[in-house]
Amino acid sequence: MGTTHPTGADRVPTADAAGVTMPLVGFGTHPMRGDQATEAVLTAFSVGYRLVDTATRYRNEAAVGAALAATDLPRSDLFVTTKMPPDQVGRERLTLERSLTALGCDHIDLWLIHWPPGGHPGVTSWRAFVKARDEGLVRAIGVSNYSVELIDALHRETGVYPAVNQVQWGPGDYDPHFAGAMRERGVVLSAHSPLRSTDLDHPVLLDVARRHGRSPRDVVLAWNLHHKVAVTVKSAHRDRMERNLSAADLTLTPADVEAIDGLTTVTTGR
Amino acid sequence: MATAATHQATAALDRLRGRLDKAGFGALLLTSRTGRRYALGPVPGSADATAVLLTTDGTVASATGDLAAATAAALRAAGIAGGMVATEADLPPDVLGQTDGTGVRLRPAADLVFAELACCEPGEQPAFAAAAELAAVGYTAVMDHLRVGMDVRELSGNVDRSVRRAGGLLGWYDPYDADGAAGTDLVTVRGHDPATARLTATVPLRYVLHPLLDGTAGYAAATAVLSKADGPLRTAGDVCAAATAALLAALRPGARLTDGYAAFEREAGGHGAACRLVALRGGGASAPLPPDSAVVAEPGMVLGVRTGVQVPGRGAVELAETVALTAEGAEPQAGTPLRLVELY
Repeated sequence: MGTTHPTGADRVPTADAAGVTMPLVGFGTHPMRGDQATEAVLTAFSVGYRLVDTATRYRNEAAVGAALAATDLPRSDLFVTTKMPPDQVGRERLTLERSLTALGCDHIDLWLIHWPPGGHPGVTSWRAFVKARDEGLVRAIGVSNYSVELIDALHRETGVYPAVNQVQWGPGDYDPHFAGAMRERGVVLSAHSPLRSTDLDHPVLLDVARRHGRSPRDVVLAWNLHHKVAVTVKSAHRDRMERNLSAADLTLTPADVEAIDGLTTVTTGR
Repeated sequence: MATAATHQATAALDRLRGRLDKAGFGALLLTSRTGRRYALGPVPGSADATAVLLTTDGTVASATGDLAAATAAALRAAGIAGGMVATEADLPPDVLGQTDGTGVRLRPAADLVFAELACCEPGEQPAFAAAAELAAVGYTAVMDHLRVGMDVRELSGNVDRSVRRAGGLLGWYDPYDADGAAGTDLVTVRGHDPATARLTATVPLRYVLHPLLDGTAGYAAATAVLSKADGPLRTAGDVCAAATAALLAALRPGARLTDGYAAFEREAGGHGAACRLVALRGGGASAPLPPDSAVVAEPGMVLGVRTGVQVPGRGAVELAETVALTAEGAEPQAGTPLRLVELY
């Protein structure tokens, strides 16, 4: 399947992830596998996505790699994120090499520790991540599902903050203190499952959506982008991919954002 | 009470009858739960039968009651007064003595049944892959969330959510006895502090996952320690990993499956180690391969492999996988690490 070079990619805002330019809207591939994953990634590229998010755990890196090989987009235009599962402590380089082989890449743009291993910061792994970055095998390194305390522990031991922390993040998860802590440390907050904790039928979302002539789903994605939070969205359907990407065109008012912030169900700090 | 009927043979029963014929038996007496269910299928109430008799001419007879009476009743219902009947190995000898009085000659058939339960037709492979995949989902749901001090009861909740998202169900019920059940998944956990139900940093956590989809079981187990392993634990982990690898390497087409047992013993001897191979079809009972089995490995078999090595005073390292046998050998299906996982 060939791809085209749409203009959709140009309207996606970006973030500075420790010196690496990262699109704020990415295409998530979990739980797709095989040909379905390959076709979906190629379709996503064709409608304008440039960041593709996978993980060793997803068992679809080879399928994503097939899409990377098939597209006529230059590798330098694409941003590939993958993640090392926590059970690979001590085997970081092996895991990275397997990811590179499966993806058919000579480097990965963003490599994350998928979960804190055993609830610990994972300093041993982080040192290996820093080394891989310094050797040019990955351009940026980060974490996923980490608390502020765990991130500070990594910095305390190595002097290196993660470029990105990918967490479940949507209006229901909104925590201004956590977001502020990430911002202060220069960590780009990235949202996975941005709709999971959100009641899309909530009157506030329905009202904002109605006034903008969009869906509550679009509003949630636009709300994340307003906060400079990267979002990873997934769908195997082209029309929904396009609709998700179009959230980049939706500008919410300060009153909209304040109202959506108020939907949080978070009562304790992360 | 015994019933007898000539069934429209299903493909599975046809295959089982073919094995009977090839082995020179006129009938097969199934007394284990797995065997009975395999023969009768997921029919509500099938577990009530005590003995099921299958003949090469297409008759399936089942009987309830105590084993001796049910066996005799099933034989009568099938009209068998003499000839060679194969029985599963776990049929008690006293039953054999009583039924001998009818003139029926009985021979063990554990290998015949195990081979049937382990063999997988190409069209059945997706079902085995799906069950193994569900085991992998359960593994991830446990492994990624572990932390020192975690209440072990949280784990079943995590597995439940993940398995539901993957299309399965988690429960301690029997899908054969529940109309419309899509499947079940069990997670058995050891290694937590029994007084507080919480995980510690030094005692290895072991968990076993038994997903069951439409009568096909997946199989996986893992052991993790929430710290860097110390000497004795790492030794046990290394021994278990090496012995498990040796077992898998021995499962090559043409070799006896028990060669896997021997390879494991050679590698792990003297370390309080144990292993077993199980068949994954026929419900959740997972029929084990008898230690004296002569079943030969052949492409198309799917097996559960479980191994363990004791850690003195601290439980054990246990590993398990669902493996498919191909012309090249044993291929892990769930893909969980066959080694001690150290989380630190």
